Amino acid sequence: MTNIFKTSIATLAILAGTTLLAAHAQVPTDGELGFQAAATPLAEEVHRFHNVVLLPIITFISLFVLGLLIWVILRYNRRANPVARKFSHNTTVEVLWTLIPIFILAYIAVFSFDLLYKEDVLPDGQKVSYVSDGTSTAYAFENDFQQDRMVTQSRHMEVYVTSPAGERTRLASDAYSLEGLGTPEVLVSLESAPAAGSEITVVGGRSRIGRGKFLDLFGEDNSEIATRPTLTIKATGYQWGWNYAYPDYGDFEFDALLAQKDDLEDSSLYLLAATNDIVVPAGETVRIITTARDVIHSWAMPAFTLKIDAVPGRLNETWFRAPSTPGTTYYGQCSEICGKDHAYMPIGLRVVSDAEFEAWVDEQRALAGMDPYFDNETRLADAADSSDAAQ
Amino acid sequence: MAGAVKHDYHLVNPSPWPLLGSVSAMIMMLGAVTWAHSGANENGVEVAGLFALKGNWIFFFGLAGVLFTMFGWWRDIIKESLKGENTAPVIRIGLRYGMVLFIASEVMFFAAWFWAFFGAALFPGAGDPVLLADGTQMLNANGDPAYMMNEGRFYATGAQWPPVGVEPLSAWQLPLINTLILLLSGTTVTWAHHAITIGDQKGFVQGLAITIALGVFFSFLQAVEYYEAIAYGLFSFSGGIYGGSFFMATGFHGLHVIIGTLFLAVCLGRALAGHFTKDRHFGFEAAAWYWHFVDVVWLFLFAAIYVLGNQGLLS
Amino acid sequence: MADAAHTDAHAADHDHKPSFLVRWFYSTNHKDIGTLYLIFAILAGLIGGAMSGLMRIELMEPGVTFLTGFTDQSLPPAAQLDAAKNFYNMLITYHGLIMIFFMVMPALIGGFGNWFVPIMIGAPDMAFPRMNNISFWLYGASAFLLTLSMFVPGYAGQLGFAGGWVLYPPLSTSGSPGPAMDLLIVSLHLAGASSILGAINFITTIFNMRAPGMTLHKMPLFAWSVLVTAFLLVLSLPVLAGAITMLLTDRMFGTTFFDAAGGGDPILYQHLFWFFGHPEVYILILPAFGIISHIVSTFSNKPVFGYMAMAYAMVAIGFVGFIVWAHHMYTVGLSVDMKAYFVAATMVIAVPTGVKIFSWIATMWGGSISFRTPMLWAIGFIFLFTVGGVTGVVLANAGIDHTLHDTYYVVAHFHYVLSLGAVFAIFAGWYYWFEKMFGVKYNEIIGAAHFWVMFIGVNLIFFPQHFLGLQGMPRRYIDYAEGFALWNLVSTWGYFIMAFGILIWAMGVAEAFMRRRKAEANPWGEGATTLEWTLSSPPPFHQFNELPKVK
Ligand code: HEA
Ligand code: HEA
Ligand code: CUA
Ligand SMILES: [Cu+2]
Repeated sequence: MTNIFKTSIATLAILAGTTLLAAHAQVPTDGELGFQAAATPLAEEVHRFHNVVLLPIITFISLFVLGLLIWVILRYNRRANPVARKFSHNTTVEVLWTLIPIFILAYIAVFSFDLLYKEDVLPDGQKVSYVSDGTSTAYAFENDFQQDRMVTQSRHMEVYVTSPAGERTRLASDAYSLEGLGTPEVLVSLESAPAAGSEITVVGGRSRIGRGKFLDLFGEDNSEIATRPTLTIKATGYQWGWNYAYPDYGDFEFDALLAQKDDLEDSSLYLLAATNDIVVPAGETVRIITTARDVIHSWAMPAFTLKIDAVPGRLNETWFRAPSTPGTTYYGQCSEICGKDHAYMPIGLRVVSDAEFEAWVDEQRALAGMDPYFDNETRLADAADSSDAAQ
Repeated sequence: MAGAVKHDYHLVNPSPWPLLGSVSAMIMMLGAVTWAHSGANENGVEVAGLFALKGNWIFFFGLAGVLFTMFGWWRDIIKESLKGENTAPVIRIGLRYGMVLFIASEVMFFAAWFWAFFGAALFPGAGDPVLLADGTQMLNANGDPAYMMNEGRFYATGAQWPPVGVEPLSAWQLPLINTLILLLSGTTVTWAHHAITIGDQKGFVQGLAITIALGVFFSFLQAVEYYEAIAYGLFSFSGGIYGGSFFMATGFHGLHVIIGTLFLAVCLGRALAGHFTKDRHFGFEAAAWYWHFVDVVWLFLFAAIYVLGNQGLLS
Repeated sequence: MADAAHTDAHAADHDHKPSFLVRWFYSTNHKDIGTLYLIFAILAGLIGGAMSGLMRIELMEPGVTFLTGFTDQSLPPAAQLDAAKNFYNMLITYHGLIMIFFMVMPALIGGFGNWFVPIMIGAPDMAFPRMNNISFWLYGASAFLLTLSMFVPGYAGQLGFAGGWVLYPPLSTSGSPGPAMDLLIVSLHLAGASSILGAINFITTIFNMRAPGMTLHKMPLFAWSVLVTAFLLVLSLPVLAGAITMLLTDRMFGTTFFDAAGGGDPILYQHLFWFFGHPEVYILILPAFGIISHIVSTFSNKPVFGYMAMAYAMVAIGFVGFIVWAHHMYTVGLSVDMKAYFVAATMVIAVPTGVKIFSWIATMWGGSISFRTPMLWAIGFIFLFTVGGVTGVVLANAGIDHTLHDTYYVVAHFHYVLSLGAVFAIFAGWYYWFEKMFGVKYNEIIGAAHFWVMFIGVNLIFFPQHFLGLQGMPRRYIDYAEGFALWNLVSTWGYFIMAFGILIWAMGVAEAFMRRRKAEANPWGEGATTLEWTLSSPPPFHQFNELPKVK
């Protein structure tokens, strides 16, 4: 557990053709018994399903069977029980050992389906941000979801305030009131106006991720509304490397090959680190689209509990909510046998702050001969737009 | 307890055929692979397949062995049958089980080809378009709009079945005639069966002969149809899912028609030699079952590929 | 039960056996064919086990350290490395195929099935003795072609097919253009034909040749298990045959079944393969279930608990086994509803399997258990199969399998049910029937030592692989990151212990045949109630010339 976060080195970043530094790397840990630390809310849920639901059940069943075996071995061996009894039926126990497993499986299924649908349905939550002028308390939220997904209850909405210093807090539900739920426009009225210059973020939608209450009954509710992807990355596998494209930002692309051992200062990254990392902004919902050029590959990221095959001629998708703390690089490996160098096509994913992301995007665009996307003007204009919208 | 045999089962003498047949099959397969890998390479130079061998003669050598085995093996069975060694009721029931199970396995073999056909015909398109955060559609590597799931098929087939560029054969011409031929042959083989059960050797031979003739005619018409499809360039075997699934499904059916015809032809020979009697004619019955199976597979092919598929009713 | 000579027109019906060549090459005797199958399975097991040894030694520590030694030393180091990578992938491929198709199936179905199904149902032989023999020799032909394919070109000048036992396209089509893959395909065609013919033979034998009074509901459970298995074979193998035929035509004749550019779909192959592949894993385990039932009952000196439930649980497992195949494909991009269905269907199988586990324990309950070697293996089986089974239930949950798929967790799961399940049952059956088949007694002490050493060894090999899988180590990797080092090292040490166990087993066999302790007809006493124990050991060349009557 101790060295889950290993300090990595600048070599990687230099290899990645950028001046940004990856502060941390999360790598598999020797001698570890369980999962790699969960990096996304969904991964936390997966871990909880495994560690809290499945693992105890399967351990108990295995030990129960072992216990029964030991008992019959001790109690009914030839010395302890020289004369065998001859029964061969007992309806009660037969019914029990049919019914009890059915109940156990049904219990597992409740969590399993819940988790599966969370993983496999792209979240569609929406987010609007406003910059507070210090006086306004009312903010609008457009309720324009696909049918049946409209925001109709107060628990479909969350309000966050980020102070000018960058401190983000979620407002308690009694700190604001909602009007117009179930109609095309919802109005959020805050008790008091946040300090001027702080950012108000209204999130609405029905997709929730993160640890909720266990069985909706016990423990804390740490879940939050998941927003729809703001970034799409296309990962194309080939023998033997990955090609990544960012279609939202002009479809610049780059290849990620194996980082050679000699180029790495930290040998524990060998076979995990690629010559280029995927870079994603912290806290954003990201969609990965996979395909392949030659044979099947598979894009996997254990810390996010993700794996999705890259099949030639097909497009598959998966998504994740990037960790909200920037600065860590996560690693995955090709997970479908694809020939000789199957073990040598690693995947690196670096989570950075918004500013770093924008700088990185413009750098990549420059490499591809494109104009910057995030020049200061657009950024200023963006900010102005948001404050115009405020009421 | 040991002593004279007091049961009706058939204890078979040791036989060379299984070993010979297996070795021949192995040589034949080896030859086929070698053959396929010999020929002109990309530079136009003739190359040998494996181990400096050209495959064709190996293949034919193996095939000869297989045919010889079949001949010898079945000759033994017929001999045993004529000697009355494998004709006890319990043995005949066993043979029936065997034949039914064999046909069941053949049905599952065709299931694979129907699976391939329906997979492509029912779902010729792709999934949803891939929308980016700003609502525009993502493009693929060719600069075309990207679609989730089976994008390759979307562009290859034009999202329709039959795919664009394929001119399907009409169900209501040769295929319909072929359907009628097979249905008719189903009745003639039943006629033959009925005849033999009442001891009418002449009717039996007639029914059988007509069935065989219909079988040959079916194969002939099927060949004509293949010729048309290829000669007029309606679609081809290679390069597209339509041609591949069409020719492999109907082709394997055709192969089964030919095998069934041969099976019936052997029965005809045996009928003329007087091997079958009123209550002992399992060899023929097995052939008849097989023929009915071939018939039913055709009905499914006709309905699925020609009627529903070619008329565009599946997608 | 003396086997006096008797008179009959057939040479083979005499108890003086045919000459060596005719007896073993032209055989139409189920017991001789069963023995041939067992020898075949042992050879395959040793080869497949040796291959896994090469794999484990390579994986002992990070880096490609070992397999380069098996490449052409005159090549430059980079080329040697490439050859080693290809060799590793080839090893896992052929290890998987050999173990499944040429070790477990021939041992359980061809070997024990042939030997004991006819005897248990009171039949003199199989329904189609000649066809029985071609089943065996086709296996031989198939094994020959498979072996050959390891030595001919596959991908880019490398030998053999190196893409995993599941043969997914496009790696098995455009990704491996050489003749190796074609030889592998035709090899599997022959193996499939062999198994289908064998299955037809078993079903016919069981339906048609039971002794008077032996109704299906009185039939021993091993015969039941082979019956269900045979149905799975007849119905699933032809689909595999179709799938690999499509591979072949895609490779050779330009069809595009699995090529999206031609309107095909690589995923179609996976559906067809697993429609066969999942029933196949139950084909591997059901006969093992049958054997375990007999052993548990015999050594507990008690009738099988819940006989009907035991029989119909196998029927249920076989049936449900046909509708769960896509749990191997949770990451290929199936729709979420389809995944949900396969999650539910897959988990259902745990119920009938649980019925079997608990019924075995209930059979022991109240019994008078003696711990002879077969019983040790059977008890080991029950526990280890449970461990493998419950990790299967974990994998059945698509939400978890998204992360565990194609990791060592899966490898651990299936080795627990196969290498610690099916193989334990094979050894259980081997010791249980050893005396019956070969007419000599094995040594109990060697047998027990074999069990304990293997038990420790295989658990050391495979238990740590769960940890590797959870940490994210992908399968089919010749080299891995440092963070996976420790458990890989433990696993390889486990292999050495296990290999020592196999050595003990071989010594035990040698000892038994050298000492030639005279076998009894029934060494196990009154707990052994099936018909094979009423015959001499070994049984007469032709048993039941007069059919036994079952009350
Ligand atoms: C003998 C062979 C065998 C057997 C019997 C099984 C049995 C099962 N298997 Fe396994 N499996 C394989 C061989 C086998 N498997 C192989 C070879 C692979 C990998 C193939 C490859 O990719 O190469 C595989 C892969 C595999 C996967 C795919 C993993 C992946 O690739 O991502 C899954 C997923 O669902 C799975 C599930 C199961 C389940 C649910 C069972 C169930 O049948 C288990 C049921 C048994 C029990 C559950 C234990 C006893 C029951 C009780 C004591 C009752 C109480 C229990 C509960 C209430 C849970 N198996
Ligand atoms: C029945 C099936 C079976 C059996 C028994 C085994 C046995 C073993 N297997 Fe394997 N294995 C597979 C089926 C099996 N395996 C499959 C399907 C794969 C996947 C391949 C792929 O990815 O495509 C695999 C993959 C696989 C891997 C993963 C490779 C990778 O992904 O990179 C590893 C790694 O450790 C491994 C190791 C071993 C070891 C150490 C044993 C040891 O237990 C071996 C010891 C040997 C024996 C236990 C056999 C002894 C038996 C006899 C001598 C016959 C006796 C007969 C009679 C008495 C009649 N196997
Ligand atoms: Cu790419 Cu494995
Ligand atoms: Cu399965």
